[in-house]
Amino acid sequence: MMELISGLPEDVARGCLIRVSYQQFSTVASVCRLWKSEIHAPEFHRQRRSTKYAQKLITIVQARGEPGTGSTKRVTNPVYRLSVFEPETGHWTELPPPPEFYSGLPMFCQLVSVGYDLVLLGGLDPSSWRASNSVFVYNFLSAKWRRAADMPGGPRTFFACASDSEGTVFVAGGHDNEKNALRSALAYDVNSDRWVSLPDMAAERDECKGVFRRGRFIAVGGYPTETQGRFGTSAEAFDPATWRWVEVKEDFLDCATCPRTFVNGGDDEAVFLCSGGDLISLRGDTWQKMATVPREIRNVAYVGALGGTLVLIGSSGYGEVHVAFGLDLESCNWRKLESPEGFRGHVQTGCVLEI
Amino acid sequence: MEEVVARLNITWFIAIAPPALSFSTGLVETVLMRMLLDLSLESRAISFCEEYLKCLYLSCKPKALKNTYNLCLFSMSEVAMAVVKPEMKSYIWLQTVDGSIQQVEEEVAMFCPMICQEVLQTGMGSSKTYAISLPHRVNPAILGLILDYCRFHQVPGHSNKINEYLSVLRLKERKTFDEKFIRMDTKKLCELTSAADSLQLKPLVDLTSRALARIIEGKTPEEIRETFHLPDDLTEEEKLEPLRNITDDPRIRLLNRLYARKRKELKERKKLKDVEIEEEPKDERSLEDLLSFINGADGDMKGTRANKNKKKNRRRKDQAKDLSSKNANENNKVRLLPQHIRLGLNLLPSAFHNVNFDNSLEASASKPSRMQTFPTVNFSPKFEFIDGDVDDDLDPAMKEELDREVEDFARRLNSDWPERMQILSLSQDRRLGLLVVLRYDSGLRAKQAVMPIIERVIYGYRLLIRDSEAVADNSTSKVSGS
Repeated sequence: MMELISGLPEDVARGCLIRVSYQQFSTVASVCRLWKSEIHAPEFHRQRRSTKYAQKLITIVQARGEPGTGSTKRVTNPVYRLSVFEPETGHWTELPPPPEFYSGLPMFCQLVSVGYDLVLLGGLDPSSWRASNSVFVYNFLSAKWRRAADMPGGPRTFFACASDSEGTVFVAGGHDNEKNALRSALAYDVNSDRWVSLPDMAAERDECKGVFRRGRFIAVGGYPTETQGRFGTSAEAFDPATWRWVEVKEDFLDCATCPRTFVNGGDDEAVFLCSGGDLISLRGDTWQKMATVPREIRNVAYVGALGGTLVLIGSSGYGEVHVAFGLDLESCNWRKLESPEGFRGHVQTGCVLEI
Repeated sequence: MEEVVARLNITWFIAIAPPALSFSTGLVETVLMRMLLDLSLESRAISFCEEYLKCLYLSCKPKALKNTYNLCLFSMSEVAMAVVKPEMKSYIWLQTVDGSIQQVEEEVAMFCPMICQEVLQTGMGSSKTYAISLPHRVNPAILGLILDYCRFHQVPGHSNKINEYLSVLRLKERKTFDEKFIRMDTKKLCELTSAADSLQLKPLVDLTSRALARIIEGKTPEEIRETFHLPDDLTEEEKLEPLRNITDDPRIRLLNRLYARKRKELKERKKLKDVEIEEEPKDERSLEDLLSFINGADGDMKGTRANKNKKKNRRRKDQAKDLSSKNANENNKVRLLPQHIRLGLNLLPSAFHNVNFDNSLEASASKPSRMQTFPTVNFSPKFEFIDGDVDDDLDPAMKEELDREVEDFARRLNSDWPERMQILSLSQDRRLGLLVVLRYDSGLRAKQAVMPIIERVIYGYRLLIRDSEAVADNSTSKVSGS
């Protein structure tokens, strides 16, 4: 039996591979059959996470090029790319886009992470502005993009999506080409590249937010076709075990606001939302203010939860640079996370990865 | 001053001494030494020491802090040793797999959990005859390294308060030590990891594993195979992009695309091999021409140019044939290069994008009348670049020859500027493109050499474009088909 690294016992050799940065996964997988099978084994990922060597990343859809400050605001459509930020090391890098999006990622696309895969869904084509149901998956082990099966049903944008981190991506709501709010929902299995329909939601939800929490996919907020732009406060949860939407909570949010900054802090943690310049958290049934959002990120574009920290990316105003701040959930201390030139553009959306 | 202090009654001195910080560092150290040597004052010395160090810490005097700390350490260990007579200083006897026995200070040896366990459970190691046998993975040289590590990292069992104040300092020292410590060749690092693991020395295993991980990160798969003697048993298809994809270097991105393109192109070439057979010998000859040009003087240039013109005409005829075939992307390696360059993002001036390319790009900068415009390349955005299949279809002999020639060529390119200019002005960019692309396919060994080639090519294109823009209109009528 061939050893992973000659002279070292298997677990020690595995320990070395586990410490390799995610950016070299594809290199390691190209060395020899043994290393390839080692890195592809689920055990590898598990051990990386349990020994805390998994790297926590935030992938965001970000505009390239500095936004104008003051009066020189850009009129042309910015080009969006994928930026990868590692808060623990402060390292920013770029992820190559799929070849189809060479000239820029679609506007309003969604990002979801499932294990080693990053799923990019939907969006509007940057030049034609037509809604697309395309799905692309980037695998960090092979460092390659593949085009996955399109979302079935009609065109759908501004939908909620979340993954259960086990291989399924849930999609719900959004609107179609006639701006009718949708109540339909779908689920995608990454491994088999198949979409299935879920039962419809109780309410139509356009521009809702999806999270996966405590075993259930929750669609939060949004608005129906009749009341365009007037966000609701209800939320409903889908239970994959029973394959039903359960528990519609009418006043889940205590204020009618866009739920895009709603985030699940963790199954044992609270959920958070940015509202009116504050970061509020829900424990039990009541929303409480946790902290005041710093002025530099007053317009919060994205909130990500990484263990005991929340990372917020936003700007101080329209057209301004986007910066990132980290909030320690225990101490409620804000810390500015530096970003280099070229990584300060407008942020559309993002997702958290632990690989 | 020291004599004065030496003669002082230390007890009296401490009793009336002002706060520690008002002393000069030298004086404090001397006083400390004296106190510590006087064993009965040990506890008092320790509290004095703590107080002084606390003041130093709070007043942020790292150097003084360090000096005093070292002094304390030294003094205290001296005290500890002095209590137990020097002859009775504890040593542990260790035996390595080759039979040699050595004695090691107790506290250093006990830092290794395995040795600690042996001593406590079996009582071995107290004398030469009862030396502890170390696991076979620990040879004497490695043992030496491990003991150095232990000696540095083991914490003297004294006042924790002092350690607390100085924890930051210790951390930094340890880091520096560790960084220097692991600077050794990979083989030795593996041995060290193995030995540390057998002695259950977790912190050292962690350190060395991290170092090995860093080594792995810095290498290509081939280099990794060489370093760790691993077999090359993956098929070409299973091997993934050798270049690190996630990088913001635009040149690497360009090279990635060239590589992917090349693989696809080779695959297609395989399909059209029958059609292409007569093309290939021509290519080789052009290569030789090119190289002979580089070697030759101006006189030759004219000669080879004439040759090339003939070839150009022949090629145009062939390309007329090619163009009539439907798929613009098929078979023409020639057409690859402009697209690649076009895709080379930031490397090109914006004017470049407006120019159309001809597949028979052979214009010479010095002969604008010969220039042709380039018809629009049908670049479909849906084109799959990052392709999974890697087909190396070149037969090894040709491949080797091309390798050699490219290396040669690359060397020349990197040498004299006049030569480079000649090469570019001759617009053998097509050949260059082919060379670059082929070179990529044979394993990226000369990545260093190839980068400059690409830059020159691009530079060459810029020159060509700049010159051709002026004559673009004139040449519109000369679209391929001639």
